[in-house]
Amino acid sequence: MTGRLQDRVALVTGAARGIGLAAARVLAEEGARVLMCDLDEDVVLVAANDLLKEGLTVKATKADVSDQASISDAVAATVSAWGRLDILVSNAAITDDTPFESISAERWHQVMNVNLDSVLYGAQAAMPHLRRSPCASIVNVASIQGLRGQPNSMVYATAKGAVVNLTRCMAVDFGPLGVRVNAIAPGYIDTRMALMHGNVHEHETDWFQDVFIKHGRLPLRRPGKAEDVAGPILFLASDDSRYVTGQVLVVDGGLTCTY
Amino acid sequence: MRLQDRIALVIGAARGIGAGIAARFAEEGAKIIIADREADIGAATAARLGGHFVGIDVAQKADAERAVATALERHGRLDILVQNAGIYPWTLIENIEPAEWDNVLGVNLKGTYLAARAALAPMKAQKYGRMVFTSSITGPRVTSPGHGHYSASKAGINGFIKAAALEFASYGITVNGVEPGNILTEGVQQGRSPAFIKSMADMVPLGRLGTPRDVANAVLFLASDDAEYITGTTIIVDGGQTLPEGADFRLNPE
Repeated sequence: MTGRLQDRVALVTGAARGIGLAAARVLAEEGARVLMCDLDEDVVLVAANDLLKEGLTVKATKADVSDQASISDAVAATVSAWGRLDILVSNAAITDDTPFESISAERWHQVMNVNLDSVLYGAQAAMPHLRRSPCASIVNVASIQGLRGQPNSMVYATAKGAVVNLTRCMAVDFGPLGVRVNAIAPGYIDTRMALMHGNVHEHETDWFQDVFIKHGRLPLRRPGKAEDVAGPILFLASDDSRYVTGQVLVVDGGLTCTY
Repeated sequence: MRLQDRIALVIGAARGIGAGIAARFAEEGAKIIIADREADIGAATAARLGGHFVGIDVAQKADAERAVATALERHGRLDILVQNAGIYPWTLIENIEPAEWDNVLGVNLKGTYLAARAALAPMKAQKYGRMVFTSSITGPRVTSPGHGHYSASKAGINGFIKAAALEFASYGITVNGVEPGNILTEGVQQGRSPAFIKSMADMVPLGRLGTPRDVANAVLFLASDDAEYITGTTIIVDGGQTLPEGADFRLNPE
């Protein structure tokens, strides 16, 4: 069976677990050859090995997306393995809930570096290859926090908000070059990133169950799974979205419909 | 196939974007009911896709209900509702008479509510449903002279999408929309010179007008299992048209 991404080559950052891993799997299942990169080398190697055993075409490498040279190396490794690059999924990010009074300059810059600068660096390294592809697509994983304000989220939400507008600006500049750029804005997704202090998932807390589930602030009444975000990433990576660029696709179970 | 044996009612599918949506659904294995005011063309489109045609005016409650009833009679269930019927007369606000206003809002906005309301009962009983409504960039994002009623109706659809998504969520029904930009349909081509069409395409970062299939692919995604956790949102399918402030993006050095 021919997949929707047959013969294409993709690079997914932050692919060791969660949304990045689910995205790598779906892209590979649709026929793409996928380089999975992550800061956590051991975990991404194991994850890639699991996908290989299922017959999918993937490789893994260590990359620190906050480092321009490191992400350039990951792009170069992808192209050297398979001779082209069609899809870049910039997913790697760290979370932060530091209250205003406690935000240090170091922490601010670290979060901006990992969550925002990485999107620019990835695109810069990938563009020389993407503009030669007849089906090039960049998918940036932002957040609904990049569209709204939330308590104790100044650092993370500012970085994600910037990813949203960076996506729009890239779309305008890259459109005439035949490269589409879109973002995903996930809501509450059940991944390791949703772990709070004390190793409790936020959706398991009483306030989440009460406000979001019982009282329906989250209309579909469940946190999303990583797989719920992977399908939308596939849509934006594939020709199904060939006339869609500069957009932010909200994947939040209806959360942002409510207030 | 991504919609194998799903039952889909596509309203406003005789021609243009709606016909593109119905054709895309059929390719993915769905069984199609086409509802439209234009009986001859609608029946021909339905026949071409191996589907069934029902003649309706979506602005009439009984007609919207009849379209849903037709799907249920023939297939026993209704999985997907697409309300794409829309009209777009060009009239400056100073000349829009109440009857014309009511007609545009009647088909575009009231028709959407009537279709959703008619489809709700079977989808609620099934605990499953996918509703996708055709909105537009015109109204929710941008506008142009002569589209006062059209803009109001399409912006209204976006509000209705959120409200319906919220109310229907606990029944396993998702409600979303697409906002097409300039799509090269028969209607758009009619009475416009190739030079004018090219000037329209020059305003789009991706350098071309959209096709019905471009929109259909986005609707297919929203109707498919890949979009299971998406509700209450819209996808803009405009080639990036609504992003730039001006046309200077075209000067981007190649």
